[in-house]
Amino acid sequence: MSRLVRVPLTVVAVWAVLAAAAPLAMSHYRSFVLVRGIGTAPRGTSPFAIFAGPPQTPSVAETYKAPLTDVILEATVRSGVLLIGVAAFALTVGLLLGITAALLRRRPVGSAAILGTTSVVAAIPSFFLAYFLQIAIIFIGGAAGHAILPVFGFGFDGHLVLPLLALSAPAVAMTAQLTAIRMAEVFDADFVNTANAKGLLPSWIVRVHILPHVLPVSLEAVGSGLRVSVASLPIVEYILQWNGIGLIALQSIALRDPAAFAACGVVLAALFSLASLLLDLRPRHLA
Amino acid sequence: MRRRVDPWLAAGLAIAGLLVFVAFYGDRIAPNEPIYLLVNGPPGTERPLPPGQPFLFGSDAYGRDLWSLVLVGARTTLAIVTLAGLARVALGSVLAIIGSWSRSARLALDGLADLVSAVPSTVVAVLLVLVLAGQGAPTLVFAGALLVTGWAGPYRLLRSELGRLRVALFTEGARALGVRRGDLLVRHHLPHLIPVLALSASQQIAAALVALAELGVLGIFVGRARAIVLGAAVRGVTGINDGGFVSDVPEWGGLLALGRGIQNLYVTRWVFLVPGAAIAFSAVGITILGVGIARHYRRGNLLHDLGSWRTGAALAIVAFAIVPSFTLPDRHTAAIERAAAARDQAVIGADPAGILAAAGLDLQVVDREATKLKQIGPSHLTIDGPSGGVTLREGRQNDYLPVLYGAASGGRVSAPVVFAGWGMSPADFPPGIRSPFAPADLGAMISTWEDDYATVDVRGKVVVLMRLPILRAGRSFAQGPSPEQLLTKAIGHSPAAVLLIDGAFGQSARFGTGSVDAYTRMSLDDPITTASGTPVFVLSAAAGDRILTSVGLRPTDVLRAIAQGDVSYTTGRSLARPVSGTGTIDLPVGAVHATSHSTVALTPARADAHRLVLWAIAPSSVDGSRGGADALAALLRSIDVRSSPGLAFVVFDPRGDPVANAKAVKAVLGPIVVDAVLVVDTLAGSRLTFQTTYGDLIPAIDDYASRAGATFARTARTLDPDQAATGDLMRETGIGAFVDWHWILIRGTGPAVADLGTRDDAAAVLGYAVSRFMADAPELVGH
Repeated sequence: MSRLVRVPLTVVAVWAVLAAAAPLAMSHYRSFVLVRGIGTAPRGTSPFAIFAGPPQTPSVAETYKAPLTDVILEATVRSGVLLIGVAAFALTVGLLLGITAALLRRRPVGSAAILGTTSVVAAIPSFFLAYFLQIAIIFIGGAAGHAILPVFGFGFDGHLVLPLLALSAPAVAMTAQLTAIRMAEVFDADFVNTANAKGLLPSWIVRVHILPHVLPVSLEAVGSGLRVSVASLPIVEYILQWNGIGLIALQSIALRDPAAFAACGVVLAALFSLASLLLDLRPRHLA
Repeated sequence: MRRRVDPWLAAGLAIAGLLVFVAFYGDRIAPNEPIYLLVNGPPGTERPLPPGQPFLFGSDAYGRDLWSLVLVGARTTLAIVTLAGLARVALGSVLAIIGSWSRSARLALDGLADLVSAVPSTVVAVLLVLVLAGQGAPTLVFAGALLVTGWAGPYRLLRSELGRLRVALFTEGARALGVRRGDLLVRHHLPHLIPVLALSASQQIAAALVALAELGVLGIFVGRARAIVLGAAVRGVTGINDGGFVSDVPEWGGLLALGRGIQNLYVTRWVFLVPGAAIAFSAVGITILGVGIARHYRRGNLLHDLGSWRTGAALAIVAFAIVPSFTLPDRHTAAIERAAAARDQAVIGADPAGILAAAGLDLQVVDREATKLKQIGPSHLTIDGPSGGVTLREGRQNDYLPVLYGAASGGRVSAPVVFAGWGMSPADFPPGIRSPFAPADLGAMISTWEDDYATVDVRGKVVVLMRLPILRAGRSFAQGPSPEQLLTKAIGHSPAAVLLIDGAFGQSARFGTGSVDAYTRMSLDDPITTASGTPVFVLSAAAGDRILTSVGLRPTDVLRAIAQGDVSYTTGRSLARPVSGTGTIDLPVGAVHATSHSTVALTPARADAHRLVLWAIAPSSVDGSRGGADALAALLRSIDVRSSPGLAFVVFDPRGDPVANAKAVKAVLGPIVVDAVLVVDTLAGSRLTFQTTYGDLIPAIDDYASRAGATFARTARTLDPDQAATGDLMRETGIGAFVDWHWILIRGTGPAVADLGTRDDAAAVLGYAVSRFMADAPELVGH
């Protein structure tokens, strides 16, 4: 079955499962407060008060004082912008790193440094990377004497930088590694040697003979990386307080709002499936 | 020729070896017990304690050593993620094999894999853990939640690999030779799958570790949680980090749960960074191991290596290194032995005072005789009116309680009922000094109000009042009069009895502040002096509704309206009015005589030495038994009393006035520095319970009981000192006399299953605690 057919089917199936199971599941636990600093009590408040839980359980729509569809749409746009940024960033930086590593393939230290670093970065949990980036920015801001970037919160400005970096690390690493491996193979291929022997310009060789063989693999890597980014979306948005669809999904669990949870699940499934679609949309003859 | 080991594999094996070592020996190499709380650090420090003061990597928000927590938590953490990771691979592999054998199954499984991987695993795992077990779930629930969402990756990988192998030439050859499907899989395909399986397992273990950490960041952690409140134990400013849920099981995700919050970003970064770094290091290490295996065996045969003598030797070395972790003696062997020795000495009917005297200690006897006026029988309160009688029931959970304080008394009364509104007269509350810095003044706010006592004549009648909780005028708020002010003013107008309706009655958490509620505090501070006079009762708002229905007032509605900011009942016009009916009241009060005989002994120590007080309540405040004395005697028989410096023994007799008796004992103890008081009360039943307002003692005492082999009920929460029930407990046991000492009450509960009850268990816990105290254990010493 083609993925183009499976994507909508998967999304519909996710909706059906969540719409049926979420209300039942959410009746089995108490709502809780999902805020930064849970587990601490503000000064002057009896710590015993926190054991009682939230005094009442508003829905997600009540929390944001807007209709649920508006909340979900806005959150989808916020997360969508992040993921588009991740794709662009991963393709650009990952491709550059991969090409550099391939060019340095005869120098094991340089090549291994790039591939080793990207492997390690890809293995670092994104929540820790997000937290680490926050601290790094605070340190740099402290040294500079002024704030460099906002370290949490939402905004289509400097606020974008940290979530973008935290989410794109695995995608950049995957793109760089697969690009480097594929490009090294192509560099050593007979037709490239022939092109070199003919005295063609290196830029021409790269553009006309090499990149068409490498780009599909890079696109596939971006797709795989994007799937990891979608999976990390809730925790990164939570840490960095980016009111996207991942954070709303977690809030809907805490507030026991099955409708909001089902809607978030559908959007996340759609984003994940669209990222997977990148794997199939590449031209087959170039693979 | 021997192949060179891939550097990634070498690095991965080194990290994995380190993780395995920490998992098995973490509790041995941890410098401190990780679950014990150090509430007050060195002078000038606040929790979380910074690195080096005194712990190497600092403490968490509750004063636990982070480094020890990470070391000890490695076992649980790595066990969960290894279990979950391997289960993911196993399930994915089985499904992939099924999918490779049947086209219809493959289509269904592909769809299912798409479905479960479409929603982020963190979100699904959070929901599953909450549904299956709630916050603080057991280990298997966590592993199960991580399995549900994670099998799709290994399934896709294995199915793709099996698809490749299915069309390989050697497969076709094997089929042509008639090799069966099972044999084909085991003999021909499995060797090719081993590297993929190894890589997949490492990826899934790392992914499970990250998922566990993410759950921790969201506040979902392994193990049951306790409600710990440290306010009573804090020496400095109380507030932040004084209360929260603390997991029983040290685990890295749970540590991250305590490391959130804005202060951990700017100030106390180590709280998040230390467990976060452990998780990141492990995730990277496990990933490197997987990559190393994949690289090393890209052209090699893992099965061949696994069957070599080198692998056998390596496994033998690993086993040889791990086995001692199960056989090494417990790090608190001395305490465990002392607990066992005390347990063996437990008998019924022992005499701790005699043992102390025989040991040559200087016994000090505290004899007290007390004659107190007390309520000597149930009271009765009935209002008869034209529309029928209203009979109210005594009790904190019912309609009313008598207030036995100085201006009140007992007696039998039958008189007409009158309602005196808020019971306030402007003359009784003169305006105070006006200042922009002072809070709003009640006297100034009611200066133009009608006098409630001028509106109705209360002399010789049963007067009903409502307590005004708060008074609002514009943007100003003033606290209403205290119960004592209201009652004393009312008694000054010579009524036959006073019934005060208090909206906070029955809501124990808000029924008053301090260790006891406001009315009990009045009785304690200003005890009743006459047996007959003006009975006083405090009533619930619901009881007030039943009395005042005939005059068209519902105190429940009035008090609720005031709480919501409605000022229509506080305009200044008096609410006082006569009530058609007669109140019949009977409050039996009489003199009760009691004598108490307590014994105190101190082991030799410097005058400024810190002491552990072992306080046995005998006879018990609950059932009059002497189980506490028996447990103390068992301890005394098991130790050399004279060579155990810093101990204080009390055989406490609570009869008469427990708090006054305890104060007398405290006075005899003198100005000693007390680190902790272990109070032993009734030991009937089958298991021990521990109660305290000092949250920092709870993990330690439960751990003591567990290591001492006692049967006990896990202590799930800290007592709230502001709750009336806690005040009652402290009053009945005499603990109210030493609330500022670090006390913990040990009692037996449940159905009795042995003649000894829980005496042996209590003796074992005392023995363990004494041993820890003698070893200067930080959880006991230096509070």
